[in-house]
Amino acid sequence: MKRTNVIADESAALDVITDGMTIALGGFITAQHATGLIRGLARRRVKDLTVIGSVSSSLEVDFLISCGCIKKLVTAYVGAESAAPMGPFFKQAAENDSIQIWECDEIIIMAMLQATMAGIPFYPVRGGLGTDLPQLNPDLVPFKDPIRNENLLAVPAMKIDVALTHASIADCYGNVQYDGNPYADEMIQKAADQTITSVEKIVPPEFIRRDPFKTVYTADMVVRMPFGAHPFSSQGAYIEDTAHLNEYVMAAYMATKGDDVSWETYRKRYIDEPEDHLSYLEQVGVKSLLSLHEY
Amino acid sequence: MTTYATDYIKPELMACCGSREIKDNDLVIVGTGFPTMSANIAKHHHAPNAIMMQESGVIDAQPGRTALSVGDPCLNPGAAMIGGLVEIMGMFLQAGHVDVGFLSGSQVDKYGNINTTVIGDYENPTSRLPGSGGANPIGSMARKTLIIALHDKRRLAEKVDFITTPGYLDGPGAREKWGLPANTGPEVLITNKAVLRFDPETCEAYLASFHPGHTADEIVEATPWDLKVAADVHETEPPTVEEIRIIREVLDPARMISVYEKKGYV
Repeated sequence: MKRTNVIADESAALDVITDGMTIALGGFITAQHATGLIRGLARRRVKDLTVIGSVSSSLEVDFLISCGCIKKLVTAYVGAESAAPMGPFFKQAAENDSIQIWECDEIIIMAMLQATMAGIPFYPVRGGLGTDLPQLNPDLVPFKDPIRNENLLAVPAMKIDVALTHASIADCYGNVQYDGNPYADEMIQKAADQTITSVEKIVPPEFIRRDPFKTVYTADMVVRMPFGAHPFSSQGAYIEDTAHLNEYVMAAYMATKGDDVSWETYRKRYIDEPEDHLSYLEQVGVKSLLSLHEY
Repeated sequence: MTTYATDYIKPELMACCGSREIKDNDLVIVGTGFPTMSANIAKHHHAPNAIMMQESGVIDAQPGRTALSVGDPCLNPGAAMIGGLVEIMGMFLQAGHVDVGFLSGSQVDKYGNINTTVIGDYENPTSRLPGSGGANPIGSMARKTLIIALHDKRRLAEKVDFITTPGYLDGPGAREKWGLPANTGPEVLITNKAVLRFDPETCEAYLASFHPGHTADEIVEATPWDLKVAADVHETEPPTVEEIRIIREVLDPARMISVYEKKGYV
């Protein structure tokens, strides 16, 4: 079998995601989101997406909400902890009931992914028992297990069209490696019909094969996107851009309080006007980007 | 003889209250903020072999700075092991290996149930909260759960508006009835005014100690349920000189903990 080169350019990757699809987003809170790709979806105003923020999401989900991309959100959390206890547009949308929210905990999303990747209808968890979550989500079903007669919660599988992840390196065949924690990215890749991964760097296959234990999965499409997780961290490459996160949070917060000026400026400058990821990076600026180092 | 510090701020006292609940060799699951501070004080003070885990998969981290979130990569270098989320949450926690979980609650009730979802009716909310994150399985399955909350009639409640994370639910036997593991549940509720513990008979939080500068009567008044007071109610032990030295010289020279004063922990 002749293997194919899976390196794609940014716009070809974004073309895969169309209105109404279900997508799962990788990374974890302030780390390793495929923010560059997700920003592209926001710029294109892709509509009616069902988004699984795996397993706790951050402000990338918040700006998708603001740009009207999300119809239904499956998430345990939308925020950036110390930088923002919660996403301002998420808070507003939840209070106005303008998006559907499938309320859950991280362990419930993980069970959903475990069911989906194994091709079984549900996966059992103990988390969620006794809480108000099953009342909100009738497809979370408490049941007695047939082996030990214990109470458990059945979490349904969910068809995922595309997973969007960000990693450190990949080769042209889509073999993906992380300089650190892949969080739940491996699970969403295995649960999704296809996976698009942005990477800091594309490397020769020989480089991947030097350390095959580090390969986490094989993506269906790989997009070269240096600083692709910005303003979040990408392990081994850069830390969070807290100044940018603060700029976002202030602008978004003011917008939810009725003052759109800073948000309009932010959205134009960083989401709408840059035609691609590199143009976005130009807006952020070399000095800011190269200051995001740990040591 | 123990010498106590005199110039400490309330968040430092609260962090020390948390630290004292952690024993040597405990496996502790922590987030950012108070939980990490408490667990680190314990490690430097009386529990050198306690092991901290973050839900992101990091085990026994030794970060060089304060983490922005539990997903902050500064937790990675120097850690003993890094697994994935499913190892920590799905396996360690669900299998019952975690001794201590440490959570903060936007709203906490007398049974230690935690609401981080919504204030008011879910369908018609007064205020949306951040969501569960990974709090639910921690409160469901850690042997002991330590809870941090602000002490007023809005943050504490007779009954939470929404149960995101189970405490003792609606009282004795409820956790077992629902299928949560035996001998788990809230151990202590540390507020900015007091330390509340849970009565093994009634599962209700009662006043165990009041922080220096507060009185039992004031705390009963500030609590929205009929707060029982322990027969041996006493003043909370203040931070020792050594605990404060650990906080200020070792863990938090930048005094990040003082941001909690702005959040009302005074």
